[in-house]
Amino acid sequence: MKKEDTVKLISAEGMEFVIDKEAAMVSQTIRNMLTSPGGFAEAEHGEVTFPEISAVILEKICQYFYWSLQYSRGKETEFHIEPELTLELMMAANYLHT
Amino acid sequence: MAMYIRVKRSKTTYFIQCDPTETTLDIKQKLHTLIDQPVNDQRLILMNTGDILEDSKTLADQKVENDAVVALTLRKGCFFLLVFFFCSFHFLEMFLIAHHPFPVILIC
Amino acid sequence: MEKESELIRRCIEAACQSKESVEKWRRQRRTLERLPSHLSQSLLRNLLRRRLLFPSLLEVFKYSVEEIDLRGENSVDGEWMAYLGAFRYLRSLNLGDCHRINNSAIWSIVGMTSLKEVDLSRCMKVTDAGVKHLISISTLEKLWISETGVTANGVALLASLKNLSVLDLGGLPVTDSALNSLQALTKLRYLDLWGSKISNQGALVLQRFPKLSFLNLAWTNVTRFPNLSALECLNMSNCTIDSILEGNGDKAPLLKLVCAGATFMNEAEAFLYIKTSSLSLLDVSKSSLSRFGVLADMKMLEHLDLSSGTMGDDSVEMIVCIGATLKNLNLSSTRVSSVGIGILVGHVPKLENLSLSHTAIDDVALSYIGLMPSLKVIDLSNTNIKGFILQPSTESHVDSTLTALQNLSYLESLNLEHTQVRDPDLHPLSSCKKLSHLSLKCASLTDATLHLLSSLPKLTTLHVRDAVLTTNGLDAFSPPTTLRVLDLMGCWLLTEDAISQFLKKHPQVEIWHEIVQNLSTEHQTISNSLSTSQQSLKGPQWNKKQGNLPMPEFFVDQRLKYNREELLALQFSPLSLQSPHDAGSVTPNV
Repeated sequence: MKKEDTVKLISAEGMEFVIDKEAAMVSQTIRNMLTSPGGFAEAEHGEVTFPEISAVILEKICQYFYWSLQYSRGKETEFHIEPELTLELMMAANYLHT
Repeated sequence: MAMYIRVKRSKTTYFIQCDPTETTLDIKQKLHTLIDQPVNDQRLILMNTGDILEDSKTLADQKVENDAVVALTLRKGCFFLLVFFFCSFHFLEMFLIAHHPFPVILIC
Repeated sequence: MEKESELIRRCIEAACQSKESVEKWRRQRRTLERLPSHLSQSLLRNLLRRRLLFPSLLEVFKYSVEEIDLRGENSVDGEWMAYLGAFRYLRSLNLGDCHRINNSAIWSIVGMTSLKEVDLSRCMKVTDAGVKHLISISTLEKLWISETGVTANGVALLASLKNLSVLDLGGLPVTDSALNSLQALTKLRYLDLWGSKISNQGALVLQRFPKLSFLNLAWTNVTRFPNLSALECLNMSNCTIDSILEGNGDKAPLLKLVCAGATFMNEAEAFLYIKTSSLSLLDVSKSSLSRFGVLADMKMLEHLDLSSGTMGDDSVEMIVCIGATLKNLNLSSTRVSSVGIGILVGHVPKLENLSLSHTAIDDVALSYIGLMPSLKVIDLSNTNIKGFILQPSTESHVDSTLTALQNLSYLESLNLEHTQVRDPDLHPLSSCKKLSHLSLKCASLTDATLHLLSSLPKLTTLHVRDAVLTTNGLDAFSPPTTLRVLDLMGCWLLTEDAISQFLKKHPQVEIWHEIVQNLSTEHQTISNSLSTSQQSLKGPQWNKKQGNLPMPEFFVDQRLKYNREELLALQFSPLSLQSPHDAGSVTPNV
């Protein structure tokens, strides 16, 4: 695991989540930020800030990224979503194209 | 990589991919590449039990499962400093501080 | 609308899990207000489907929902409407078949400024008084009021809705003078007048709608009307046709012409003014058309329905002329025999759907059908097919004629109901790897058939009716994992025990059988708890349609023409023309 292979996602409150780029790419939006040539400063620093997404939701999103990777590798487990998180989470998912 | 764990320190959470057969030391080496802290200075604590993870044991041995939350503390100089001021939404952490077997600051 | 992502789908599922889960989020008002419309609409749809939506819960959607579809919801009444009237950005409201909607319920939406589309089809309690409420919504662009209680007087009032581009007045007693008063609606491009009282005189007014591209005059007394230069879709089903679209100027760029059950007064005249070369769909089923020479010019035709007409082997040449583009061909209940099918071979390279039910074709036709490479859906029910041809020399060993179907690598659906095929003849089907729908109904079929079909990898719907299936046979049957519907109607040897055993073992499969009527409620709760998929919810609807193969919608039984759903299907399904429910206008002639 190398530092260059990770990306830091920062929530509205400034909480940071360091995840594998591979996982972050589950989001089409983040994928575009990281791969579009010369476009985003995010690509250079390996940091993306989401002023609209709270830490609870961002962490859940990250968990989903990893769940999604595992799922694509054939591991079928439940991804539990607490009902009180559903609205915020689907908005974040919508924004992130996840 | 069959699973991942969430390693939390201060305001940062590291998602670390790993296998149940890996040892605590393996995890610490992965963390070393991310945070430049020597393996010996790291201490990992499984959040839902409060157990300190032992270097030589595997994750499976210590009941560290997929999506588990592990707290990371660092030794600064000759102190083990528990840097532990998480956001309030993790009541588990608060619980841990209250029930941790070590005092917040230990003299070597 | 963009397709929901996996995570969004899971969120919505979790949000609509139960009453309790709804309570967990319904007070998050600020979040609800910010919800993008497609998410809130999706959430609302799922609540409705899970029976968790009630009037006061609608309140949480009032700042986010732009479209709401409550079709067929019997609980929708004035109370619901009171909440809907407060929806700030509501653009489209579908209340079709909501039988409790009456005039006073409509009062709630009076003066809404965002509303562009309202569907009140078959809300029988809505009358002219309701129309008076509707005309206060000056932004309306699309209005469906077919089969309501509105009279000619009410229709005339609609003249003030100047923005109307879609108007469905199907089944209303629209008179010539009522239509005359609608002249002001110059933006009209879709007008449905089936079953109205319009006469030839009244039809002259149609020329005042310069953008009219869709017109339905089915079941009217109109026999002739002048050229309409923008007309693309015309339905004259069950009319007597004298001369249509006669006049000067550009011929109408007609794409679809439906004349099912029509009587042609003069066949030579009827098509004289129609630009037949651009037609993509022609439905002359059950019509009196007897000379098929007119087909020869229809070089763009993709969908041709000649069922229950006078077509015979002698006219098949005319289909050959236009075979190059044909995708759907319905020849059921015609005089076409195996000889006629032979003539088609080699001339229909794109043919995907072929219906030959209720014809005199026999096993010889199968060898010809095997030579039509693009076929996906074949209906051979109620024919003389036996599954073998007895050859005098080799009486002891006969090959199944179904072997010819193995050449059809795209075959998805096959109907062999009411033919005389037996178990061994079906053997070749086991190598039809794409087959997903199979219909069999024959008293000579046994457990061996079930066993044979278990190897079909894509089978989703299997009808084996009136067969001699035994309890042991069903027990031994291991259905393909894709199977969802197993229709065993009339298999009288099966016991209730055997069927419930099977359902327990294979909960993803829905069984249709006389006995299951009692079991069905029980089974539905099982399948509901297993998956929230629509299949289990749709159960009762499927039962209504049982036996129908997924033929293209425009092949529907013509007797159903009165039903608006079918009419819409006729008008919109086979071509990718936008439905009037879609935003925007009908695709202009590109």
